[in-house]
Amino acid sequence: MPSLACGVLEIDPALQVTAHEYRLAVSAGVSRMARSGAQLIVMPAHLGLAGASAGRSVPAGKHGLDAVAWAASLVSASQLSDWQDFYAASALSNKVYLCPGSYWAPVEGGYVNRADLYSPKGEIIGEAIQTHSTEQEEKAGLLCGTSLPVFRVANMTLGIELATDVWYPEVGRIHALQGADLIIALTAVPAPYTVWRQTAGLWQIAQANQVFGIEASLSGSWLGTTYHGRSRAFAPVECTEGGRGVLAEITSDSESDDFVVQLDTDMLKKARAAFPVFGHFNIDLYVDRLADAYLTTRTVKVATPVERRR
Amino acid sequence: MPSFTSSIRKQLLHHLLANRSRPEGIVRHIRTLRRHDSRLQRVSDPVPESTASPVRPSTMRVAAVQMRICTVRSGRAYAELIYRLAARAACAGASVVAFPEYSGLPLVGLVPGIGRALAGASSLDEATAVAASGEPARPADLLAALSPYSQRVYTSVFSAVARELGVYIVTGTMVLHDETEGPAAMRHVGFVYGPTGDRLARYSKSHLMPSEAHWGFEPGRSIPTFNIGGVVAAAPVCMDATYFEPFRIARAAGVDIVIVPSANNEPYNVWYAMRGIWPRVQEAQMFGLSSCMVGTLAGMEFTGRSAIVCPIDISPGGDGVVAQASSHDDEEVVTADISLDALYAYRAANPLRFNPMLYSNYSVGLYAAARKYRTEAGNSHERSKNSGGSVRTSRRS
Repeated sequence: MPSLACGVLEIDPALQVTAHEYRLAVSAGVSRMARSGAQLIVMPAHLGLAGASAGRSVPAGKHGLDAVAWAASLVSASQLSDWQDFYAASALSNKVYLCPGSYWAPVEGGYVNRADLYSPKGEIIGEAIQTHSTEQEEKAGLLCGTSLPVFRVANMTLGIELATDVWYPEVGRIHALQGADLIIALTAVPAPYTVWRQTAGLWQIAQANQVFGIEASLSGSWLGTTYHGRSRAFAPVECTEGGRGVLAEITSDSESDDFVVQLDTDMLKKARAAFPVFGHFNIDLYVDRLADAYLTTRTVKVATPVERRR
Repeated sequence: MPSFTSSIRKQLLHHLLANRSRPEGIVRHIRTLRRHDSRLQRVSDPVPESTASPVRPSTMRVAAVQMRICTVRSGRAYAELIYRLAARAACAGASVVAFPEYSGLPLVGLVPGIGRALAGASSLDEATAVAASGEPARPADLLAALSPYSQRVYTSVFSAVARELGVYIVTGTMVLHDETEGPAAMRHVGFVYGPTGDRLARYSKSHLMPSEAHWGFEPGRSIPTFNIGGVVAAAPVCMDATYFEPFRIARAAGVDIVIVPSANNEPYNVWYAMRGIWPRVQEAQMFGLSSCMVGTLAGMEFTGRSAIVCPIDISPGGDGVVAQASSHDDEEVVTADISLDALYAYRAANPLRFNPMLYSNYSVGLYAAARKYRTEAGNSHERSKNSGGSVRTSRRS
């Protein structure tokens, strides 16, 4: 019976005054969750390099996404390498898969929002790049990727969605069409992040594609913005008590918290047998009309393939 | 001799159904209903065609009919049912009135004895077999045989009601023998009528429930758009709202309102119900009207809370709902004003931004591959399953 114990680790960046403190918080959290049986640990958006800006004051006039871009500009290639080494060591020493949050990485012409996936051997086995952006993100310099790879973790195939991607159903569909049974989403939504906005995001992707969803959502304060964490594990409503579609969640007011949840693919198979959503695609309709639907609309700016992999 | 009696029986049935479905009498009856409707005395005449505005209005009052499933024995009875519900919406000032999926199902009652069969049956299959006197028959066979009669009742009723009340009506659906979208087949089809009674559009359901595929229905192959009072609209049907694709297509075609007739065959649960029109409206930035069938027929329980929904940022309570029925199992008419100006302002501030280069990296062939993969995995699961918790087996239709 293929299953995966997946956990979310929330850390409030404001509580970590130095990079060292931040690393201690990550190490303690990953270790604690590994002892609880977690095989895959996911952290929210921005946490990938939040430690690099720990204790720094944001310059006057920089706030919101501009502050995020400013923080990204502080990180040199060697510092990025140091942080990657740290996460690799955390994954290796705890024998877990680790996705330690996303980070804006400088590329020519701007930044990409990127997340790395580490194996229990301490290797980076996957990279995801945000593929959809808001006008505000683009104005702050964010460029988009043009691929949505899926990764094999234990016995499960997963896709990673970053930030705005969660509200574009195309992303979840592409992941699911490639065989993903689990979609993890790294978000950071300035408060208030209502249950309705979240329902319009990963919750509905889990329903529409009959997959598991793990949303790791930034909680606390970072660079002057307060984020409203809503980390949750989703499943098709048929698989959950009361039909809510939620398997686990962080419900306390604490801004540093975690959960571990067991994801059993047999649950998905039962939901898919009860109603095979993919069995009733109207592919002729999509062939005739869907591609044209994107011809007349606004498009995001994309990074060049070389720059995306800097 | 059996063939002779069978022939006589068929001819008698034909004459009976033809009589019960005569459009002239139906239209006359609706005119009479309208003339004697004291609520509408202030409106003396139907809206002439020339007043139909091609310009998008700032606001529009719309209504979603939550209809209780039943059967009727005549076209006149069906006219009374539809008039009563539409007039309630028109009296509340609605200019657009939407009916649910299977709004034409009451017309199976035109067949003598079917009402009793449906009331006592535990499924539509069983009721069909009883009505066919034990002969092999699927629901699609019954509906196909009835199609010529039920269609003329259905279309004449909605056309006349729209004209008499001076409103746009989106009829919901009925299952018809249809040749307009490929080879002749039974399809969920609906129509849009304008205030003059003219047919403005025809639409069909493009994603079926497994039970409907089992009954021999075929999906439609298009997402047509139509203009209702200066607003571009589309009508994906029920299960279509499980899929984002029809809504992307509709939005690209300029749609501002999606009208989703539904007949949701499962016990009501708010989260189950949330899987349909609500997320689609959020993704596509449109208004949505959800008209639900409720009640029980042939052992099928239909539930739902008809609603008018919108993007959460422009909804009064921040929940994406403009108005919603108070019950999930009773007849209601939900009416609300929607602000097209607010929708356009919202879109301007939060434009959808796509990544065509990304999409082009993934062939549409992935759909077929994923369908095959999931089907094979499902079959494998069915063979090997031997334990585990229960999963509810119904879903939105």
